Amino acid sequence: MNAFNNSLAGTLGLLLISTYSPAFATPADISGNYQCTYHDLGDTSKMYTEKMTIKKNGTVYNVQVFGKDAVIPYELGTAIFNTEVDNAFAFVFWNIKDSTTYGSEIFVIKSDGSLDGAFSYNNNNNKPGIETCTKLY
Amino acid sequence: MNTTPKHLYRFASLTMTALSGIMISTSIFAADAAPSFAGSYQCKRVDASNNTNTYPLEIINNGNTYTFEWMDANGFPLYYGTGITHPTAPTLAIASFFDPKNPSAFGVEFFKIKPDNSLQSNWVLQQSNQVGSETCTRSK
Repeated sequence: MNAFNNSLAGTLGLLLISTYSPAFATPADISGNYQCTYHDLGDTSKMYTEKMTIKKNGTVYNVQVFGKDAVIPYELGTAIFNTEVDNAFAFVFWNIKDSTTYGSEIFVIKSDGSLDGAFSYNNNNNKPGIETCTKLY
Repeated sequence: MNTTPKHLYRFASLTMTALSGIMISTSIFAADAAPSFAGSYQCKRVDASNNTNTYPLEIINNGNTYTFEWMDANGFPLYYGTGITHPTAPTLAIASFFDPKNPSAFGVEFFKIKPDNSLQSNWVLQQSNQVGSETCTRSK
């Protein structure tokens, strides 16, 4: 009986832990510099690289995206977390010279700090893409 | 005569407890995967100043992307959006949205698709640090 009680209590304890832990925890600090590679969906023949800088700004993050060797960003962005998701973030990005060209991207944060992302442009069904980023230390 | 030490029974009991906990945890995770997303919703949208509005939302699957249409009470569009789900985390979705009356006002909304097909999200406009929220219940 004691063993049963211990088992039941342990099971309930683990159930509570397993239910609680995936959500509502403190999100990771995503601030930093990242080296990224992306391609349009279904077209891995054209791979592109860019650098991304993320800085915390209160409850959001400011994002700057740079082309290869560039010192001025070609895209800006604003990133947020979902209050019920601590291992992913989303951001809206726009072209710094043409703010009518914009879209959104979602990144899942992997255990090593790298990012696994997908993006799409506004009002364009043909250009969703995939992006991966490695954090630079 | 049973000569098995009591602490081994306790170890076995705790092992079974851990395994059952892992199985339960796994089943919760599995139940969280890839619920349906396109459809009609009734949403409550709250901005960072705690102003609340309710809107119907229609999410339409276009193949590669989803179209989002938030409507007013008369059925006219308040916001349009284009979005996707994450390929390896299909319960997470995003949309870039804009106000058709003021197209320079655009932003991103980050949705969590819940097992009961309701949506919980947070949103922000570009170049703003004020985050809003939205909860949506599926109507059909």
